[in-house]
Amino acid sequence: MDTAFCPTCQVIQPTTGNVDYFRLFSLQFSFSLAVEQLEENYQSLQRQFHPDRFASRSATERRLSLEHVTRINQAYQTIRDPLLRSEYLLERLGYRVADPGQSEPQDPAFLMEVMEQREALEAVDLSAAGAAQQLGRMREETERCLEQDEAQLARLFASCLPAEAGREAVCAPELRQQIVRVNHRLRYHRRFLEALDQAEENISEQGV
Amino acid sequence: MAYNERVLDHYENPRNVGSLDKNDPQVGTGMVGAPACGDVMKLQIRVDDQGVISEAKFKTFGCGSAIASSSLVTEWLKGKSLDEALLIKNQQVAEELALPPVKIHCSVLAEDAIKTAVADYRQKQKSMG
Repeated sequence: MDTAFCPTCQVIQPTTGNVDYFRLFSLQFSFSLAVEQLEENYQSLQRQFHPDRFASRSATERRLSLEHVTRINQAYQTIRDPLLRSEYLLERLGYRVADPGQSEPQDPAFLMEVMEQREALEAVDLSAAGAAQQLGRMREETERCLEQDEAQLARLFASCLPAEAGREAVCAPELRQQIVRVNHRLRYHRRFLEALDQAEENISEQGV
Repeated sequence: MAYNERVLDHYENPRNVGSLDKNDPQVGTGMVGAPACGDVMKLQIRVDDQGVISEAKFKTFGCGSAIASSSLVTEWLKGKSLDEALLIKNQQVAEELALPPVKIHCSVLAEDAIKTAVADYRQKQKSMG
């Protein structure tokens, strides 16, 4: 954030186009997160750019401080969340997950697994006595899967990213393909967790 | 987002939801996913002795457009030969349902599911000799 304030007059400057979210929080470009450092640097940036501090300044400065805070928040949300973090890292490696229409190599065995999970959830009788326990077991299993996905991502990203800051990240195509695959698993598992949330909500509504 | 009427109709009254026995030699199964959004779609066809699709079933876990796209293609598939089935293009699905650009990938998914189901059926027939 060295360029956020004018070095001579100390007046807040516009946000620059393409800032690296990791660099923003002085973090290493990595999937494994130094959570304490992120929290600390997030708090300190928040304080530095908080609109209250610019309340007596010009309209332009007030607007700029808001721009900075918005970007800091967006960066924070992205890095905090494992799925968004993984997709951001992939994007920095030149792969955009959200590009629609890009042909993906399908993994039929995994898709079958997803389908079976979904069907098992659909088969749960939400009005039955043991439904909550059944959903609880599914949740535990899904959370274990998520942990595995994240551990794998940490390992895979670590083997393709140089540790030093300042050097462009590189990743062999086969390795990136592997990362993309695990990233997709993570997304499917997250989606399933959302479906479980929904089902649990339906149970509690029935209970009322 | 507001859904188109035809999408809503297929979403609220989906046609041909269900499963066929995936081990039946007359059945082809297509399992495809949209990893970017976490959708998964299963499309199954039963092919009679004349090589005509007599039955089509689907199961889709995803957004309304994905469900509507698969529901629509199961209707279109019935009575078609395999080669005719492969002529169904995602553009036709998208047009029929008036899908907005962000939902085009749902129709792509449906087309891919058809291709995979037909390929699965043909593979089964070939391996039986």
